[in-house]
Amino acid sequence: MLAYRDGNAAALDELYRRHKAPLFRYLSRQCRDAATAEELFQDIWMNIVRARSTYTVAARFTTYLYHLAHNRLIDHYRRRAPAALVSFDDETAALPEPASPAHEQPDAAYEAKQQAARLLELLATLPEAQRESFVLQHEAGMSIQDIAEITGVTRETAKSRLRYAMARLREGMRGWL
Amino acid sequence: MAVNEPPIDGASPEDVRIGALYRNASVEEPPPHLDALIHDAALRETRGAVSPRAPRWWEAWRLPFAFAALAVLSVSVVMLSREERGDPLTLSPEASAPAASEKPRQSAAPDVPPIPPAADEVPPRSARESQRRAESATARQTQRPEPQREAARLSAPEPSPQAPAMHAPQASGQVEAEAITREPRAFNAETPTARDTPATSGMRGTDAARSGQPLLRAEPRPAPARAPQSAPPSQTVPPPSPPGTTAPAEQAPVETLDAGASTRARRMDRSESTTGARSALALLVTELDGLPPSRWLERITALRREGRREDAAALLAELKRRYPEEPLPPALQ
Repeated sequence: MLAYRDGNAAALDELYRRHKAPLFRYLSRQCRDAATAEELFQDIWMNIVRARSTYTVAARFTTYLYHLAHNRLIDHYRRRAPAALVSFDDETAALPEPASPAHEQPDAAYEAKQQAARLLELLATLPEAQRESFVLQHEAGMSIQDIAEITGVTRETAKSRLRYAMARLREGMRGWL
Repeated sequence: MAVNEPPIDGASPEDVRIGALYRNASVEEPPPHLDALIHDAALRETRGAVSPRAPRWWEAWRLPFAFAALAVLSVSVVMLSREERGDPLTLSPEASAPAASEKPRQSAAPDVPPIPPAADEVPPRSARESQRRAESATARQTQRPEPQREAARLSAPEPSPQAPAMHAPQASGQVEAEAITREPRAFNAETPTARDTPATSGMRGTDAARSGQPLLRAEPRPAPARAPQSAPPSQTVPPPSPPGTTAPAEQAPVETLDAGASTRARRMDRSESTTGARSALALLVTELDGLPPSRWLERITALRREGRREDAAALLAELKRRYPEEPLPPALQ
């Protein structure tokens, strides 16, 4: 990013190439809407481009990028209709009714596809904060400390959210793995 | 740690399998049009930065102009301050030539600060120097004998109390000190008639000013001095030159007399005439001291007959002060 601040446009291309897919998936998981995810994705990268001249090194670029994305998501949540407010607490919603276990399915490829679909379905049912923690860990490779910094909570809270998320996913995938 | 490879600290095999399953299932990518859009925006932003506005010609010359202006101002201030101090460098014959060309403008300047007239005022350095030069030139030409100098010294008024303070330090040579104390004498020696008749002497400068004609610059006059005490001795007395070669080196500094100096010279003339009158009265009083009032009256009458009415009036006033009960003849009442 420092190279891009100094006028090297190729440096941003490299950053973009490295982070575009995880960031886009992070936004997709959180918004659950592809069009909104695209819009937010574009906004975030445009903000980075515009903030080029004022950029200062305060953290890793990954942390900086996902911090921007988190804040942009918060804005997006606030702008949505009050009826569509999401819950950032750690309450667990009811798990979706599981489909037939994998061993009851005839095709292995179809089986894997069903497992992925089941996992994503379970992930979508997680509370926003737990899902965010899971996606940040598995998409961006964030540590618990990084997750805590990006989401603005303590390390213990971030760790707890991640543990809850994994527990629910394990429970939901029981019989599918 | 690579992206999409989360830390698995104490993770169970189930957690590892869930992670792997998620990474296999999560394959979405941003659409290509977003890639192109962001790439273009990034390029535009950097292009705007790498092609800065070319500096204008005056911006390139701004610094040299500033330095040149600073240098010109500094030189002007230094020259002005030297002129104010009467620095010898600016009073040299070479430097005084342009000063002479500015003479009409300087003499016409209306904002010359007035200086209160004082009998003990020391003439300014420029006037003093010009007088000194003129005096030395006259001395060289006439080869005046020493007794005449002594007579002139005796007729000169008492040196002012400020004069010793204004004398140059000993290092500058005795010539400087002598030149300063000699100023009134030189004036008296060269204009004896003016000294003999204080009234006409006092009128000389004012008449010239009233008629609008410039003063005779070559005529040496005593004027108030404000010159620094640290003037080098080499500048106080010009070096002697062979007879007949005095004109260019001596005329130029004389012409640098400005309007202020001439005004001060006029005031000095006036104050000297007053001093002369006072000394004449003092002589008369000393002469008549201890004599009866009748002698005083005779002397006053004699003075009036001689036409010295001012002296007669002054002596009469002194008589009235000393002998208030003395009856005066009707002619003097």
